[in-house]
Amino acid sequence: MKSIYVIIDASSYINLSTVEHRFLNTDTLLDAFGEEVILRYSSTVNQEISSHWDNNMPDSLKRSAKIHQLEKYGQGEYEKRLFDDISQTSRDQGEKDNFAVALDLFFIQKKMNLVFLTDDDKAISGCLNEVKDAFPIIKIWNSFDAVLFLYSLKRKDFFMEAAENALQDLHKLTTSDNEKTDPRKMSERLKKLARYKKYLERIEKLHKRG
Amino acid sequence: MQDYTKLNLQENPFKDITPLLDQDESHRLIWAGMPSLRQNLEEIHRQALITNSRQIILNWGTFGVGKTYAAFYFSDQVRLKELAEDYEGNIFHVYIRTPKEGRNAPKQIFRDIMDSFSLSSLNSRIQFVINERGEENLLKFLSRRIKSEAFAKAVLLLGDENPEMTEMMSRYLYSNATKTELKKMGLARSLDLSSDFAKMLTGILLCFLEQKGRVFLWIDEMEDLLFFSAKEYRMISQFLRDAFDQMNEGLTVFMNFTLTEPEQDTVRLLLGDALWSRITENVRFNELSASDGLLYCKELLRQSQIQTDSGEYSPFSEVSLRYLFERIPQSYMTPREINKNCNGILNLALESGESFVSERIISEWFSKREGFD
Repeated sequence: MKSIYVIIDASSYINLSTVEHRFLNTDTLLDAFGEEVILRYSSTVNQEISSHWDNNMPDSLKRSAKIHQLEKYGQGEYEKRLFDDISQTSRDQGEKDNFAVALDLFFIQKKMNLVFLTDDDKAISGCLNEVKDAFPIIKIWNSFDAVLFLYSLKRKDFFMEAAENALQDLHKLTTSDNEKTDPRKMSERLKKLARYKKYLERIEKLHKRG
Repeated sequence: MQDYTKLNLQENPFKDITPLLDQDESHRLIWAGMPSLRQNLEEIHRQALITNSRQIILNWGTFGVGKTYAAFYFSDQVRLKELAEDYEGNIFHVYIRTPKEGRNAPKQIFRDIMDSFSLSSLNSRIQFVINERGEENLLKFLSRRIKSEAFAKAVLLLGDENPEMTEMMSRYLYSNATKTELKKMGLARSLDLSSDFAKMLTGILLCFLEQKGRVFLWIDEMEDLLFFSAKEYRMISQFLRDAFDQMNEGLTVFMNFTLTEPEQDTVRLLLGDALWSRITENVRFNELSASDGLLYCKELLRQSQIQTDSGEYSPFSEVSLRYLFERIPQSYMTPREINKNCNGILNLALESGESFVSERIISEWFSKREGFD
């Protein structure tokens, strides 16, 4: 039975749906991930996803079913109480609203296994920096973590090579042009890829016989 | 052009922040400092010329540490022949950069290597090999080695004496030959798959090995491969493996890889075992210590000093250079960073009417830099 709630942001949703994944009767990594966890997001994130909609993504009806309607407070009230800088623009709005979704699931529905999934490192170290530390119940993942999770869970079907390929594709998708041309940023990205490949080896080593 | 004579210099030796491949007798690149790295690379070249075995070398280190410079420095044929005096064969130096786009990377690498040779040199080289071995023997030899008679035949056609054929073959190499031209040349199909490019490339390179020829292929910026999708990366690594595996002699490949990471295992994880297992040696380009930096500056300054009795670091002093190095973070201590700073400092000293570089000028330089960094 699925017990992990993953509150996913638009960029990660798009990234995971772009990576092909032809195992377990799924077409994309998002499909495979969605088989194992309960995906949720805010209505703002749903709108962001709609504006980047592609054939390989679920249709609007299926997507709408994943929207969480806030119960404890409305979106504006959550933002006022959680964030010092209430934005006049829509910058980081998706991340802020998604964080409210995670808290709502915790406080109202008493869900404990909560994962906030985003590939936006700037939001993590920016607008979410303080609130994420205030609520350690919410784990922060990126798309690479989703690959590790699937590999840990489904090693018999999701082989090492497929997991490495998924990481490579996500690495390409999540690296901006600016990061490719700045040698230091580029090195940081490469080190991240190497680190996650190392994690795969660690998982593999744990399960290896003898 | 600035006049550096007041600073006891004929010219500014730090002005080339990035090197140029274009060298002639009046402008030969010099190697400054880093003696063990130079010896290591010289030894690799010497072994290549003596033993003829295939070498796949991984050069890795942070950016600006001299990997591209090494590629250009060792492109000098005279210098290479000095390393192995008994060597009588031809040396071919090829320098290419890794394509930025993954979709057609094997084709792009193939084309860049062809551009580096030039069509006329390909034609005369293959003509020479045909005359040496005989057409039939060469066809048999190449077919066996690259496992394709069709592409072996295409290699031979590159050496055809008929200018019309040469013209058609140039279009064939760039995948622009028409069906009529293919028919005229007697070739079944054009270059299409990455394995086609690998076979054709190997066939051509094998012709360059005739009579003890040696090919040094430098592939710069290999880290760009890692920003390809998994499918594209698989394709390019397969292409490189095919090309490497079919050449078991006469080839040295230097793969320059930029990474600010001291762990060799990180490079292995990134390249993947298939490429990693083919590497015969890896050369680490380290950041410089203060004493490495002093040696580097001394040897570079020596080339331009007018009065040699004004101190080995003139117009700097050991104290002023150490003062400079203390201001460069260790992970940035590279020849490029030293050149960038020394170049600016010398120009600032000139503007200020100084005849030597004091700590005050260096301080002033860093205050200015803070303004635009």
